[in-house]
This record gives sequence, structure tokens and C-alpha cells, in this order.
Amino acid sequence: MSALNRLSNWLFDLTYAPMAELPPWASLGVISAVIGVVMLLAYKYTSWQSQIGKARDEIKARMLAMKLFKDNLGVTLSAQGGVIWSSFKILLLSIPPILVAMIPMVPLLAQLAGRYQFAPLPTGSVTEVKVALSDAFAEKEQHGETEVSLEATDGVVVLDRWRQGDSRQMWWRVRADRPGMHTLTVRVGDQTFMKQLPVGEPGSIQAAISPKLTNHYTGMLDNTMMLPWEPAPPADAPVRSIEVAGLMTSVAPDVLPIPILGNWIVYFLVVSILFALLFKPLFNVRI
Amino acid sequence: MQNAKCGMTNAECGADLALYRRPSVCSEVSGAEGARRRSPSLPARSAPRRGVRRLRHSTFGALKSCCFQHSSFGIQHSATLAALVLLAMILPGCGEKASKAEGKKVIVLGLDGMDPRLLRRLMDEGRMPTFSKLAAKGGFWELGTSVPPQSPVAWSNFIVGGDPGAHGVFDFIHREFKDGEILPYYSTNETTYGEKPYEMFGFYMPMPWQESSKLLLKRGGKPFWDYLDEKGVPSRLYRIPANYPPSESKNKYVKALSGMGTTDLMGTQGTFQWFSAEFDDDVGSPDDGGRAAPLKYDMETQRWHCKLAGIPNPMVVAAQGAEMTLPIYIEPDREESIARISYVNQGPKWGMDQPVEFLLREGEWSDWKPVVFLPSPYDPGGGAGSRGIVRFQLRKADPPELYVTPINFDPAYPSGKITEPDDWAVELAKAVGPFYTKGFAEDFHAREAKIKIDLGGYATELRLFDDEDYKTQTQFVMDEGKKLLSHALSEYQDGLLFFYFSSTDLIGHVFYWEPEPGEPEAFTDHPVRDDEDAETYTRSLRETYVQCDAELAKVMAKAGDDATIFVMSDHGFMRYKRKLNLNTWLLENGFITLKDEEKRRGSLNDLVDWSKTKAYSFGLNAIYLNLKGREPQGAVDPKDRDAVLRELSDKLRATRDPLDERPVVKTVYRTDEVYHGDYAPGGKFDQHTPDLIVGLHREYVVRLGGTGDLSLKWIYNNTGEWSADHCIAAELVPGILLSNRKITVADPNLTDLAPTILAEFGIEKPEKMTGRNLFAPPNTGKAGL
Repeated sequence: MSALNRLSNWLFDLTYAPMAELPPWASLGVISAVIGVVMLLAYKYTSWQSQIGKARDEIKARMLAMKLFKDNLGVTLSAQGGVIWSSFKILLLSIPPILVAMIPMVPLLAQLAGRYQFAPLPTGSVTEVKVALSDAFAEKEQHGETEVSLEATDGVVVLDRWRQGDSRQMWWRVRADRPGMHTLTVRVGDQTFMKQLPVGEPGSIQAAISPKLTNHYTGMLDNTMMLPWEPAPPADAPVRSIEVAGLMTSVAPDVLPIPILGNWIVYFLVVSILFALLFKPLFNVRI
Repeated sequence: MQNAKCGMTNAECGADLALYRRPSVCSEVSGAEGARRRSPSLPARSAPRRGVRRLRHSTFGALKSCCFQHSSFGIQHSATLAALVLLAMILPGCGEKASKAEGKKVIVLGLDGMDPRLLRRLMDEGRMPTFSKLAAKGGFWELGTSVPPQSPVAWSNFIVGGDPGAHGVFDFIHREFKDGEILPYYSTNETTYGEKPYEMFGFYMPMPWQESSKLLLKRGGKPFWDYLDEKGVPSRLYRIPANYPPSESKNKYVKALSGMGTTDLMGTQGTFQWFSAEFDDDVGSPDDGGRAAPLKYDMETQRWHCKLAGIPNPMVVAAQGAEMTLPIYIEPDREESIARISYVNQGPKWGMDQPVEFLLREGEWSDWKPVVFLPSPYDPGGGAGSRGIVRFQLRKADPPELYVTPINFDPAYPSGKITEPDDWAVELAKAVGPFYTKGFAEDFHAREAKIKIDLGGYATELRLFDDEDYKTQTQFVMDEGKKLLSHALSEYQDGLLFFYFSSTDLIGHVFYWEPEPGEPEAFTDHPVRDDEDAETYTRSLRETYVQCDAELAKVMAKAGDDATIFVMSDHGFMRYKRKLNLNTWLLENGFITLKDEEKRRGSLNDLVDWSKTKAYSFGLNAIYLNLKGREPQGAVDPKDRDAVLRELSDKLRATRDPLDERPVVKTVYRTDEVYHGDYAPGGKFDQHTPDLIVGLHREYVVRLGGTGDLSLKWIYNNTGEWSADHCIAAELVPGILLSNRKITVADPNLTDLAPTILAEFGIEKPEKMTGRNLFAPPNTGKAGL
């Protein structure tokens, strides 16, 4: 997985580099447009175009039949049944290209999320760093057998610490005094775990941002696949996860100052679909 | 605890306050939104988001139409689609209408309750250099205030350019008649009941044809900005008092954020919540304004928990009236004075639960946190529910004690109408972040809150805020105001800019202890503070004035040389030591007769024998005759009106303080003499107009009438933190007026500002305005232009 992540990071960094200085709406717009067109072509060459075309023609024919014989109940019902059946066929025919498209889309969306979903911590703000300990180390900490501490690079000040009653969670509040990419170090006994902490204006950090590193699965996909930029703690590590609270916003930061298209993923979908549709006649693709 | 700015303690307000908290009497919810709250099947949703939703629907509707209704999607359609997307991008920027102010700028800085004597003193000491500079350019005058000098009345005078006869706001508290009883409501807004919705399977099902409840702006008259609106002059009104819900701008040149009078999410004028591990289940409520509830410890999860009360659940029949609550958890650290506070906002709106977790040290305040109350898992409001914002103060870490501010509207997702246009709140929130939307943002209730508990057999009184807490909290409000003003100035191009600060008033009520005229500077005899503290906190009020000087500097820097600037306050201030219970006075002087001489506590409706009662007090300074044909159980014949009023006025004027024989009442105003307009006696809408307004001498203040507690003496010492006020004779507490232009009219009054502002934009004084143009050429005297 780490090799794939490295490849994904390298590829995306390479693609993103020429657009790093552009405003988010422009860089994401270009990426979305290109992806829309590429996905259109991928669809064309991984789908059974002739059968899709046939099904489309059948739908058109049956719609026409319904229009011409609207007084004939038998023809109308039969045509409606035919429309439903042909639509279902299109749906089935779309599954293979969608499955193929998912392979590049998952790491691609993860890369886009890293660039567009999370904003750096504003300079001067205070936030929580949440560290979850494994049960064994939590018990050790509770009994004073191991020390857990947080250190930060210059420009970030560790303010205070809070421990859950059973020490499974330990939180620190940190103040981000200086912009830049900072490093937080969680020290558990003689082991250390790192987490990056971006500070500054939105768009000022030219690197992917992840709010949380974790060594346990939270869904179908491995977190190391969805958050490929920073190494997560190993499965047997005393630290289960490290999370920076201020980076995880309830609503993703707006790419555009427009409510309808502000959210990066909506913007991405609209622009990519728009360009796919624009190029559809040109490449003669049947969807 | 004080009710609103009326200066009365909670114990005194009693039943009245309970009524203010009823959603029927004061609600933050406007129009259809109010209907949704009272008529459960109508969804509660954020008005601004409706606009967004409409846009989304229309655009996606068009997209859908283009993409899916045509089987052959050609380049033509692609172009349509592209055009629509571009339109959607451009549309939000097209809301501004072109100004016809032609570059003319008028800026009004409204500083509630700024006292001319204190201001003069600070200017003389050189601590208000910008005020001095402005005064040197134009002048500094005492500004005549309203009768009575209460803020809703005074600001309404300012807004309509006339006295209360022109707008119908006579007091903080008005009365209404229902089923033969006299009930109170907050004077500038009222919520009307809608039709009761149908009940089905335990749920309310309101139907489209049913009349919905409405939140109404009760201030009458035409606000001066409507005249500007008609002429295409843009107005930006920030925290404008006595304008909740904000009046509509027909031509869309007005943007207004409502100020004083705006309720919290519960529909009250401010309900804080106080949780403590030391409270038990039957802790009861603090004296006023807030609520108290216990924090309980759960051994299994090793955390403390309590329930934050929200709005009544409008969905479920069985639970009508029951409040929705939000469980809050507190986990103190094992050793240090710090705790984690957590809760979960639920809502399909965001597609998932939204956990809110943060740390607070003992004594520390959180920033604004969202709280969401959803009527049911199925939320017909699109998931918006009722969303508010609160700040927490961890007063003690272990065992914990927690203060939660009244639940303010979240301006980013307002559940009620707090701005005109609706989505201006969202715009402001985006620019400056969340802010206090409640009218009385300074939590003076919390300063006076106390509760008696039993600690191991010993009765103990717990207090909530001390002076330092109040000072901290009021500074939050002030700081937010400064931020909002900076934004307002950055956006301002031309037209009218009005900006309001409340802190000068609400800090003044608690901290003002300035010596009376002619007295040496001394800070003695404060009812609750020793001399040193009285001086310390009086000086902290002076610091607030100094902060206003810095804000004025920002205004002047932005305004440029051509702008006309006004800095004004609605009234001044005075400290007081004695309180007056007007209804007891009326009882002892034979104007009120009781049903049972022994029974003196309860509602006026229950205590009073109306058939033998000639007059009663309601609100702060108002006295109403029990007039036949007007009152539910009138006893005074209209032909005897004059005689009773004369008798009453004479007796009031002759009243002496038994302590030292000083006169208590300075002026008794007959409203048929001092009010002019449709709401004045004899006017079209005079049914709720009081007959007399009582203007007390300095150092006296009236407690809230209408509560029915006639067991109190008619005059007694003030023993509360609320130790300064202005609800006395109007001539004793003028406000301030500073301008960069010289005025030509003697004795400027609040009512003069509206016609003056209109004249600055070349608009002739409307017929209904009784004020004067302050800049009129001297020889024309009261000219309109």
C-alpha cells in the first residue's frame, strides 16, 4: 500500500505542481475538466458502446410509440415496459466502466480531498490535538508506568493537557502562532509519532492536509489509502490515532464564494460532468 | 435579577417574566417560521437557506431538464448548461442595487445610555480625544430624550422622528386584554397564535389553509429609512433597536440587523442555563432570567452530564410544551482543573451527527458553539431544525459547575428573521464569524442570579456571575461590536450607516456609580459593593467609554470630510438608592381596591377588585385609568377622566420619601398633553396608550408594575447589583449628541434626528414627523429642509 501511496502522491504532486499558484477554483476547475474528459474516454473504451447505443435507440423508439399510439393502452403499456427494460440494460452496461473508473478515482478523490477539503489552522488560533492510546498503554499511563507528552516545532505552543479518566484519550490544546507546516511529536515512553500541523491562510500551504492519522479501519477502505500523505501509526503502536481538531471542519471550506458550488466535491462533480457532456458529441460517446 | 433593561429584579418581575418567556408572548420566530414553531407540521427552517435552496432547485431543475429529459444531448444543450452554471456563479453578486445617494454619507453611531455628564468629565480629562475632536468641529449637546426615558421608547422616537404618540411604544412592557385579563408583552414585538393544527397519530399536522402564528413588529409609524428606501438611498443598520423582526425594505435599499428586542432561541429576552454538581433535582430556578439544573455523575462512563434546554418540541402532540434537550457531558481531568465538554448535534442536514468537543480550564469561556434542536429524526425542515449558538463558561472543573449563555440565533443558519433581507445575517456571519444576536447581549441576569441550596443541612446561597465575570462577558459583546463595526465600515460606500453599541447602557446599569451633580467624587453607599469596588467598577465603565472613543476614531477615519457624523445616545444615567412600587402607592392612596385585604401576592388580575379600582400601573412608568369602555372591567366613567387624572397627578407630585421628606416625583406627564399622533389619546390607535407617565426625581426608580406583588412597601431601599438607571423624569437624563456640523436648533431632541438625516439626503420632512431639522437655517427655525 505504501508503494501505491508513494506513486499516487508522486503522480498527483507532478500534476498539481503547475497549478499550485492558481486560486483553488481555477486549479480544481482545470483538474475537474481534465478528469471529466478522461473519464468520458475511459467510459467509451471500457463500455459496450454498441449495446448502449442500441438500448438508447430502443428507448427512443418506444417513446415514439407511446406518443403515436397514446390511445392504445396495450401499446402504451408495452412501450413503458420496454423503456424500463432498456433503462435497466443501460444500467447494467454501465457497471463495468464504473468499476474500472473507481480504481483511479478513489486515490484521486483522496488526493483532491487533501488539497481542497481541509483548511490550515488559522494563525493565532487555539485547537485540540487528540491522541488515542491503545488499551495497554492507557493502563500504563494511568498507573504512572509510562509518560505521554506532546512536543511541537517552533511556532506552535502547547498550552495544556487533559486526560480521560482511563487515559484512553489524551488531549492537548495548542496555539498556532506562526504560519507554516509544523510537526507535532507525540512521545510515549521511548517511542515517537509525528503529525503534521499546517498553519496559515487557506490555500497558503502547498501540500495535502489530513486531520487525522489512525491505525484502525473506519470503513471499507484503509485509512492509509484515503489519507496517503502521512504515515499512520502501526497497528501495534501505543498510539491508535492522532487528530488535529481545527482542521476538520463540519462543512468543507468553500472553493468558491458561491453557496451552490462552493463545496469542492460539488464543484468537482459539476465541472467534470459538464466537460464530459460538452465533449460527448465530439468523441461520439453514448452514455 | 433584572428584567431586560427595566431595572427591576426578577423576584419583582415574577409572573410577568414567566409570561415573557412564553412563546406566545415573546418569540424570536417570524412569520411563517413562527407558524412552524407553533404549528408543528410546518417545518422549521432557516429563511436565508430557503433562498439558497430556491437557487439550487431552479438551477438543478434546469440541469435536470437539460440532462435527462432529452435523449440526444447536443452542443446546444451543453451551451445552455454552461450558461446556467455561469449564471449561478454570477447571480449571488447581483444582489446590490445601485445607490442613488450620489456619494452623500451620513453615519450615526448610537451609544445606548451614554451619559453626558460622564462623557464631559472624560473629555475634560483628555481621555476621549476623538469625541473632543468631533465636538470641536461641530458641537456636543445634551439630547432631549423620550417620555418616559426607556430605551424602546427612545429609540422608537429616533426611528420615526416623533414622540410615542407616533409609534405606540410607551414602555418596555405593554398590556393586552385576553379573556377579561390584563397580560403583559414586550412592547416592540408580539407573537400571535395560529390555528391549532390537526392531530394525527400523535403528531401535529397543520394544513396549508390554517392560519399560522406570526411574530409582529409592534412599533408603529414609518421608520425614517423607509423614506430613504423610496429614494434609492442605501441604509445599513447594525443592531438597530426596536426593530425586531426587521421591517421590510420594499425597494431593497435597506439592510438591517435587529438589535434590542431580539429574543433568544427560546423566545425570551434571555435565558441563561446554570448547571452544578451541587444542585439537586428540585433546585428550582434562580431569581430571574435563567434556569438551574443539576449535573449528575455516571459511574460507568465516568463523566458528568446535564441537559441543555432548548425550544418546545412542536412535532409531537404528547410532548407539546415539553422542551427538546441536548445532553451535555463534562469529563474533568484526573488532577488538573481542566475538563472536556462534549455533546452531539443531531441532524440529517449534515448527513451525520456532529460531535462538539472542547476543553475548558476552570473559569475559562469557550468560543461560540452550535447547538441544534431537532423536533424528530424525520425533520421536515430539511434538517435545519432549530439551530443556535452558545458560549460555555466552566466555572468549576471538579465537581463541575457550568454556565451556558442564552441560546442566540446562529447568524450563519438563522432559525428566525433577524435581518432584512433574510440572508444578510449569513453574509455578516461569513464576514465576522458568529456573534450575539440577542438584543440584550450583556447577561445582566447572570450577574444577579442566586439560588439557595442545602449543603449538609446548612442553607447556602450560590451566586452565578461576580463583577469580574460580568465585566468579562460584557467585553465579549463589546469586542464583537468592534469587529462588526470594522466590517460595516469596510463595506460602507455612501448612504446611511447606523451602528449601535449596547454596552454603554448595560454595563452602566450595573457599574455606574458616578456622584450626583454637585457631589464630590466619592463612591460610597453602594448597595452591594464596598467603596473600593464601587470605584473600581465605575472606572471600568469609564474604560468602556474610552473604548467607544477608539471606535469613533475608526468611523471618522472612514467617513472623510464630506460625511455628516452623529454620535448620539438615547438617554443618560443616574445611580439610585430607593425604589418605588407604584401599585402599592396607588393602593395606599385609594386608587386600587383589593378583593381581599389580606391577600397581596399574586397576579393583579387575581388580587384587584376592578369594580372599585380607579387606576393601576403596568410596565415601569405608566399608569392606566381603569376606564369604562376601554378596560375589561372598567370602573371610571370617561366623563370623570380629567378629575381622576388631576387628583392622581396632584397626589403623586406631593409624595415625599418617608426617609428624609424629599420629593419623590418630579414630573407627572399627561399623555394627552405630551403625545401627538395616531397612538396619542384620542388618536386612531389609542386603546393601549397609558394615561399618565410618572417621572421620578434622581436617585429613585420605579419597580416593574403589573406583577401584582402588593405586599412590598411603596418605597424601599435598593439592595441589588442593578444600581443605576434612567427611567425617571426625562429632563433629568438627557442623552448625548455630537456632530461634525453645528446645529442651529436649540434643545435638540431624539425626534429631530430622523428629519435631519432625511434632509441630508434632500428629502423633505414627512408630515407625520414632529422633529426638526437640526441644520435648518436659523431664520427658518423648524423648517423641514
